[in-house]
Amino acid sequence: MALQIEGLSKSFGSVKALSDLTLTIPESTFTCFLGPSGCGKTTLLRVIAGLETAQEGTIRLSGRDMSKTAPAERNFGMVFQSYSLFPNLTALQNVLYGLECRGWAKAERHRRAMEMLDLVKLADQAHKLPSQMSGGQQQRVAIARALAPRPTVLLLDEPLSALDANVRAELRGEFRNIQKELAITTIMVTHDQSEALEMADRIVVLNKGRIEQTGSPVEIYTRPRNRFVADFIGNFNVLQVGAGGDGAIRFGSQTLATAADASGTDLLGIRPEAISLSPEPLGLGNALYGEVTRVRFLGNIQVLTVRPDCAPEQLLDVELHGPENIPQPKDRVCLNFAADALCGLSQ
Amino acid sequence: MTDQAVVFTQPARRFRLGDRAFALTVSVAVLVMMILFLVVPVASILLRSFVGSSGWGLENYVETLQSGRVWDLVGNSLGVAIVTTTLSICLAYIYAYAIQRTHVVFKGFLRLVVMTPLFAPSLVQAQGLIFLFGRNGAFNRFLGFDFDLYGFWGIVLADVLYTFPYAFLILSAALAASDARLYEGAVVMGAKPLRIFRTITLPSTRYGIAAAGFVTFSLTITDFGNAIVIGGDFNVLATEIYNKVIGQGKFGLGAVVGVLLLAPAVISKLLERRIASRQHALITDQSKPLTVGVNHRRDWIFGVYTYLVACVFLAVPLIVLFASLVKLWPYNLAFSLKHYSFDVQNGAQPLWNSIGVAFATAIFGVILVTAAAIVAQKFRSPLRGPIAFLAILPTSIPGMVLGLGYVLAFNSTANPLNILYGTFPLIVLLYVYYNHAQGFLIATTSLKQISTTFDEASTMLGGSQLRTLFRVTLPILWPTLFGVGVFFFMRAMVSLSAVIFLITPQTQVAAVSVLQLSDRGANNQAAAFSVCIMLIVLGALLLARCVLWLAGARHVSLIR
Repeated sequence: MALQIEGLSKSFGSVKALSDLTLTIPESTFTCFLGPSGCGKTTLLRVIAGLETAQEGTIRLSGRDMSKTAPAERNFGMVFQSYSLFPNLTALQNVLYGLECRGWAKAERHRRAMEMLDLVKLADQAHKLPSQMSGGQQQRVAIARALAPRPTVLLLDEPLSALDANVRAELRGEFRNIQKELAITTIMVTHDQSEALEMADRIVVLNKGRIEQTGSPVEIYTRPRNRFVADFIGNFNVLQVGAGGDGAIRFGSQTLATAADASGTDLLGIRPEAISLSPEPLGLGNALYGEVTRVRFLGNIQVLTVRPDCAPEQLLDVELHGPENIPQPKDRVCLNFAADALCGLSQ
Repeated sequence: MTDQAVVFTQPARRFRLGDRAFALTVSVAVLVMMILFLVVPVASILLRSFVGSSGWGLENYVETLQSGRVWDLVGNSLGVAIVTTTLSICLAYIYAYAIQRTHVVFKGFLRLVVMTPLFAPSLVQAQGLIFLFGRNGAFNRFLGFDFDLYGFWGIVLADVLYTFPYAFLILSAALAASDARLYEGAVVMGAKPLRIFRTITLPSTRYGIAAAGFVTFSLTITDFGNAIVIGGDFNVLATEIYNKVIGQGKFGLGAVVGVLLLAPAVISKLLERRIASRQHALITDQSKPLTVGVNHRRDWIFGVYTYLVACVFLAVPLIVLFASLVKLWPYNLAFSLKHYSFDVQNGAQPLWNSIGVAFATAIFGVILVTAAAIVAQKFRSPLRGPIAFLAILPTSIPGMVLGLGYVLAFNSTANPLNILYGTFPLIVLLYVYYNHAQGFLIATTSLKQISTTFDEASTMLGGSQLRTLFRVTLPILWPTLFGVGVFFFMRAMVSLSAVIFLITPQTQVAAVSVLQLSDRGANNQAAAFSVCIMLIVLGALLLARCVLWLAGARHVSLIR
């Protein structure tokens, strides 16, 4: 079911946590709220859950106003960052909890709980206590517990950030598969951009209580709207450009070929991996000469910093894959990139 | 997406109390109980102090303050309290230092031994000291000494023993928190041990020392049991209330002395709370715990000291035990169990009464304290502020004063609860509210440690507050609450001053029997009663430890 958020504002004392947020979460999609700590993403999720109340604005579920509904009555499922399984109850009892609250018949709720544990592949652990399970298993039980009462919306509050890296990677795929299988409207809060890029249908980038950009992972990654989004989602070269007399875009002393949407701005962005190195121009649309100033070896990739001749004060990063043919500092190189690899950024 | 297409699955629910109604009901119940059994008695004593033979006025105050006697009593009480506090803090500090900062052997044993006063009726120190150093004590009788124990120094000695465990617990905690970086820095700069102690150890424990000082002071100035047994003709404020009320039936004058006693106790408690809250700030999360180095000479010196102190603490209950097992101390030392036949008025009934009262206190204490803690911590009710305040108020009210307040409040036929007067339920309630603050603080602390995520997770799953409480919070909390119950049980078994005015021949409890028997000179039987009380408390502690051990909850501390 689609969730519409309109004009949501909330402040803690003088700190504005959410300011006038308007957003629609489409039905059956996986949406990520992404942003640095303190951006308001968790507050937004908790307001949707009903655990916090907003001072202004409405939340509608398929057109019906939920703002005044008590959290226990909203029928939303929620998974918390960590330690939210009741430690005194077994995995099965934890999953049964929400069904008991709703007064399901005994046989029915037992069948449903086992079905859910089966879904997260933990049916054989049903009678273990949370303390006897690993962190990853606990979070899978938490998902099963949240889904058992057939919630209309599933809310995930940084569900993977307390886990080890390898468990995290495994659960990303598993959570996503479950979401797709049940086609449940899901919102996940995260500060990890790779997690958001991998899992989400739509990403909402938040900063200082405002929405910076909303879009698919590909859009967000390749076409960040402004400098904040560009910097937050991976590395980005930000080019300070000026308009030449003929209306062309000039980067220092050189004119750049750009796509149409990049005109009319003085900031351009380009991903480091969108730049190819060569001794001579490759004919990709743009070619800048420059000198390598620094080489960082990061295993699977190498990051070179290059000082372009046309704008020596604006250093550019270039990413190379594989350890072969790495230029050394002071080497002369040519940077090639296509016109549509450049995107316009607002401040 | 149309409204019609959306089917809201609101499953059929059984009737449940709304969260707000539940929170309000519990809050109001807790507050009403506190008003009835805490505020009204304290108010009664204040009001009563202004009622004289000619009606309202300052008559009682004028009469009391104009007599020279009351100033002697104030001087006596302050003198005893100051000397006791000084001695108790010094001795307990060295003892705690030995346990925390040296390698004396059998620390567990040493810790336990100085806790024994907590397991015994609060006059057992005086009782034991009389068997040791009294006119017919072991030293005078068999070793040819000529001590005169009764009076000032007797009370001081008994109260040092009585307050030592409280001071030790606070000082030990203060000494346990240490930052190794400071000590390493001092050693690197070439400071000698005495200088390090003066410039680092002492300053970093100053709040602990002050807090222990105030606790000891208020315990001593309000102590009744030891003073009445060993004081002889030397009177203090606490014994004066007893004399005025029980001896002369002058409730108004007793109330005035009670108010006089309330003032220093309240002040020192308030100061203690202020100071205790500062202690934690000294240790930051970057502090490195101190590891105690090897130093055999130091360990020997402290070892000798700690074992001497431990001997004194063991000697008191052991001599009481010995006296209870002989025909007639000190004239006939033949072994006899006749004092355990309790052929006195009421027989062994007071012991059974005590056990019953202590069990009831444990159960009701846990329920009331937990309810108060939950209201203060979890419910967003406007009543939480007043409840949190009243919950810790009893720490500053001396037992005798609260007990007298109960008499004044519930003896009056104007009080609809007058039917409770002279019954066990009232004694139970008095014990509960007398010890309310400590129980409340323990429960609140553990409640704070339970993550709020559990409440939120339960809410999101559709659970009510009531369900969260019984299905999640209480099952997690039960070992701590069990510990609180044990604490209430112990206190109800051993404390004397609170109930001394409420006792009737039908509702006699064991601690009061000890006092009355030793008052009558039946010292051996009094000793037997004391021994039984100690054994019951120890047995309860052991049993509680076993229960917790079997339930897998091994980290709950039972001795507080």
